[in-house]
Amino acid sequence: MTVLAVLALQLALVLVGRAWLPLFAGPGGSAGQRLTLAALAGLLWFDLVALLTSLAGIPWHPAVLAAGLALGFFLPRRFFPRRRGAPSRFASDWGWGDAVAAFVLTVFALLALSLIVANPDYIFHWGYKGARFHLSRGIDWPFLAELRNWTIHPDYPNLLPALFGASAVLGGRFDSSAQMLWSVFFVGLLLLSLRETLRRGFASRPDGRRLQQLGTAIVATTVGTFAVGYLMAGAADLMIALALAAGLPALLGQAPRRTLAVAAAFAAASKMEGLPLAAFLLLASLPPERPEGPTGRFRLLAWIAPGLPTLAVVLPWAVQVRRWHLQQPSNFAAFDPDRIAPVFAAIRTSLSAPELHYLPWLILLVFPLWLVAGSRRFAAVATAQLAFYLWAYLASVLPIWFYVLSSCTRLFFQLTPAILTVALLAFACAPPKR
Amino acid sequence: MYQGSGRIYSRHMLRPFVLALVLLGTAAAFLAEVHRKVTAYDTRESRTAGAIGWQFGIPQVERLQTFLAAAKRHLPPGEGAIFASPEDMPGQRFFRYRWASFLLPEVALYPLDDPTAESQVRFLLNYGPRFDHPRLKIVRRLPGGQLYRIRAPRPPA
Repeated sequence: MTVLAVLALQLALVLVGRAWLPLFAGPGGSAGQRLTLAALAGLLWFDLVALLTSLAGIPWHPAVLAAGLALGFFLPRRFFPRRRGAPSRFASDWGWGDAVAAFVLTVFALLALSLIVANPDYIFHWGYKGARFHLSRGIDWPFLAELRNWTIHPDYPNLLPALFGASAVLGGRFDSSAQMLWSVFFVGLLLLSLRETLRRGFASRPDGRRLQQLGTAIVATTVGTFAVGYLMAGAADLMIALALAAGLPALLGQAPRRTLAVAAAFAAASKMEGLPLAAFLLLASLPPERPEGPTGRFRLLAWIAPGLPTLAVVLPWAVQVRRWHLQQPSNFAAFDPDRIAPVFAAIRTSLSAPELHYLPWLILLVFPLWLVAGSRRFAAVATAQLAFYLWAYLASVLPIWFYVLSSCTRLFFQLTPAILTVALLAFACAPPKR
Repeated sequence: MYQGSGRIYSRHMLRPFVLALVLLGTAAAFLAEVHRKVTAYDTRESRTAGAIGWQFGIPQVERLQTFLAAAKRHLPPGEGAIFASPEDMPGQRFFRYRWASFLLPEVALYPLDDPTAESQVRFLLNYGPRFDHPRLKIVRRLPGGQLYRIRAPRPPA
């Protein structure tokens, strides 16, 4: 029953998000990219419903959740009527690389549903919070504010535990196996999004189809190695990777930059480190594109609009974090230059983890991407996020080895699928040497 | 007569060839990890990891689950409890506590070293060998531990 509830909620969120697409994506774009953006927009609407009902003290009842989602479905249809145009369909160019990606997703799904690849953080905070939200029928701020709960990162954004809690409310009980379907959903969207980026990137090359299939298979097996080898199911790191992947077409000039608004807001709603990523993605969306047509002119709203979805999900959360004094003192510390050498030593050890077969070192591919003209906007975002991670390690009071070894690989993974995808495009599309 | 470019490879084939080699590496890594995880699952009965490395389905988690399910039946609704267990390895008590919190979300569990716990709860769940303390009165023996009631401190004479 809970499995059906999760699947039904996922479908509902895609339908809700699809209704909002005219606002963010405009007409056109590939079906895969539109599906990813629709899912992210639906998830953002859900986050807003979860936050606002909890703020208003309205308990999550299946009818309340259904009403919230129905509002998200009908509201944009009332105010932003859909433009008639040819519906985007999935291109019929699926190949063996896509079959490899489907195989990776299926294997990950089987292992996740069997709880073999459940992330420890699912036990230690994401899943625990979700179970509590299910019992209290909402985001349980008093529970988060209890002193004993400093260990569960009470100040983190609550989208993932809210999804767990709401699925359990709809399904009638909290079932960890069923909750893992959220991770399968995120991996599926991540692979689909990167596949579409590769497809469009290689489209102009005569051997583009072959390269695209190779690229898709490489990206899928790399994501699969991380997801299985580093036990990613049930944690929010996949969501940050998905946010960056969803923003990739816009960063590479394949899609309008306003689609970054959805990617940024989703990053901010997912996890603490999604907040700086959201800021970098929003900065990368500037300046706003000039509206099409002879009357098109810049307006102040065009500069502000990309930030509104992020503001909508961050503001209620930030108000509650402040109101309930959820900030953790360990989040902030002065920059400590004495930590530089040990932090880099710990990072080196972390990146060479045997279960990941040196794949985390792929993160270094971000630096040569600065040399490729079309990749610089993406390289700037990824490098800024990487710099933020380093700053977090250097300006901290937490013990270096435990802090770095328990988080570095997961943090770097958040950037790796997108970096690898852009590196594949840059490598395969670079002009040959004479 | 050969009239090619003099190269032993086609320029157009080099990049796909390099990518194919990369794919071999990533596919081997993926399959190796799947094999490792499935093997670890098959041998979970003999796993001896500390609580930080526990996984669903291993005997340590099953035993803790049985203990907590039994404890839940004897705790009055809405009651919290302190969760205690031996520190038989560094960090073991802390991570057992976190597993217990996840497995029993209905009960507000406090770690043994929480200075605020005593003022919040009247029960102590001990997952491990029985211990005696003048302020603890055993309420129930449970599979793998005991449930104690915490007595109020004796006022100073």
